[in-house]
Amino acid sequence: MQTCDKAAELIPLLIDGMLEGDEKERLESHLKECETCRASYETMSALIETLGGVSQPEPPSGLHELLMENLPLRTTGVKRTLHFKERWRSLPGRRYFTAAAAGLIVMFILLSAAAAGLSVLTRPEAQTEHSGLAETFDLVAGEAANDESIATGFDAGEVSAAATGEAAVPPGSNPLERLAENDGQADNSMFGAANPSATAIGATAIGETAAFRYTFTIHLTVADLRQTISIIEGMNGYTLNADVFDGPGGSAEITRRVDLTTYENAKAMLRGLGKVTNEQENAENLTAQRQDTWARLTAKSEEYNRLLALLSKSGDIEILTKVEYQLSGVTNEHDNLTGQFNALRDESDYPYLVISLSAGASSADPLSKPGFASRVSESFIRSVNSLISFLENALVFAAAAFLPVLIAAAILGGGFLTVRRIKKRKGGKL
Amino acid sequence: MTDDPLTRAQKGDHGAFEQILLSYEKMIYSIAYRYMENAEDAKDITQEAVIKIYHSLASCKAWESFKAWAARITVNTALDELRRRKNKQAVNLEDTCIAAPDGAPDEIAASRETLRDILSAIHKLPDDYRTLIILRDLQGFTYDELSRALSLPMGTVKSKLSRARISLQKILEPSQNS
Repeated sequence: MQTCDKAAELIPLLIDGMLEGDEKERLESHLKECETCRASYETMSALIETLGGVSQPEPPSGLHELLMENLPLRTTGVKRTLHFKERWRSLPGRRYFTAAAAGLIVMFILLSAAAAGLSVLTRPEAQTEHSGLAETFDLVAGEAANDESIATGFDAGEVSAAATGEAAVPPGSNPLERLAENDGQADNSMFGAANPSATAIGATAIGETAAFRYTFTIHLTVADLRQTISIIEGMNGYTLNADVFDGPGGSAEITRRVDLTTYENAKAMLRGLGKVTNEQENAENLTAQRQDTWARLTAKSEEYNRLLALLSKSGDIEILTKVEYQLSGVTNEHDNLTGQFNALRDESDYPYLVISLSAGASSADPLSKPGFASRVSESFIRSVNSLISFLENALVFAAAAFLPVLIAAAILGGGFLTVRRIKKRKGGKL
Repeated sequence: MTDDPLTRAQKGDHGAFEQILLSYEKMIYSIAYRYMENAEDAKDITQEAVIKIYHSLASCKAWESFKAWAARITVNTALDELRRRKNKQAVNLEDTCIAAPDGAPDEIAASRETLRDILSAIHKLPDDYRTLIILRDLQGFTYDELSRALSLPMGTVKSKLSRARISLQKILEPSQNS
């Protein structure tokens, strides 16, 4: 005997043909006896039949194409070689990647423009102008101080003491010692301390390093004179002089100056431009000359300061006129010495390249080709130099670009996450 | 011996996957439609499910169980979406899901009304009952396929399906009586 509850649970299975044997027989027997369960069986049969009659919804037209189009061409756990286009299409965030790449390119262009502007400002001519301006400013400031001092007057006895100041400095001695001596003398004779800006210049300009005027002379035989000249013109530095004689058997004489930091690179590059027929390097030692000029400049600054101090203490118009006359002379000498010193600094900081070019059989000519080993070594040196130069530039660029890139990455990342969050909120549809 | 479409697709044969898709995209769309009850959402769920299937193709063990496996992915995708929306009761039964039976116009109208009531009642069922009814009674899955798709033992499938149908019958009783 079967209960109605049990029968109710088995009726759907009977309708589906999932009952067999005793269980089926017991249920069929129960249905014959129980009217309620029989009614339930009929209702359930009708329901299942109705459900089975519900037609399948027709997929919208173009569904297959849509599915195939949006299919990422990548499967997890399936090894497959994909073409670049397929790989690209399969990237889920390719739109964001494109946007990020575009942003980086724009940023790179802007930074390059900024770097180009910076290099214009920092080229040798600009630096020279800048230091010239700084020195002019010092002198103007000194003159202004002079003008003020004239009104205050000075002591006649101190003028002669000031005049002996320069003579007490032996020429050619160690400038730093001389600075110390001058400082002591100035203190003892109440003329005040040395010009602080001049002392600061002394610490760096005299320096501990030796100064040389380098001149690198190279004779090259090149296949294409004009092309070689344009390559040379495109190198770092600037051209002082260029004489070009065109035509068959043409030649050129170019004198260029380059920054000391790029001097070795420039030499290596020149050697690679053609067949080197001769080369020599001259290094003229400017150390003593520079130190001497600096020492004289320092002494002149001291003298200038002492005269200014005298002016401030004197009220006698006659003495004042004499001191002013002396000041004018000292200013002129100071100015000349400053010019000399800057010229010497320029000489050591910007070596000369004297390039003689002759049109003719160059390294392209097999007969005049340098040996394999020398070509390999030259290429290697050029590559190393290029690599060093590239790394330097990359480092500068990375340092300059780091912060903007970081900001851009943060913005793009934030945007990406926001878009994803919005999409998720909208239902996470693809 | 020729590999089945699943094996070929797993080896990276894009054409084989397209062949699989042609065979099962209608089923996937149909299941999605039973849950979402509108064409636009069903299309979105179909796309999402197909992409999931494609990505996890390697985890399908045998071609024989592909139908149940794909159905389960589709069901889960649809249920996830509905849970996300929290508007499971939003039902729109005006599209092509109701067949036009033969007979007089008033009979057809009455029949349509009955179908609408039944489909509406299905959406009132708990998720597991609804899934069983949709897969078995609307999609025609066998008990074995149900067992695979839902990872349930056969006995559990039988008892749960019976209870699901009884629940549906009970929901429909008031409207049938009226």
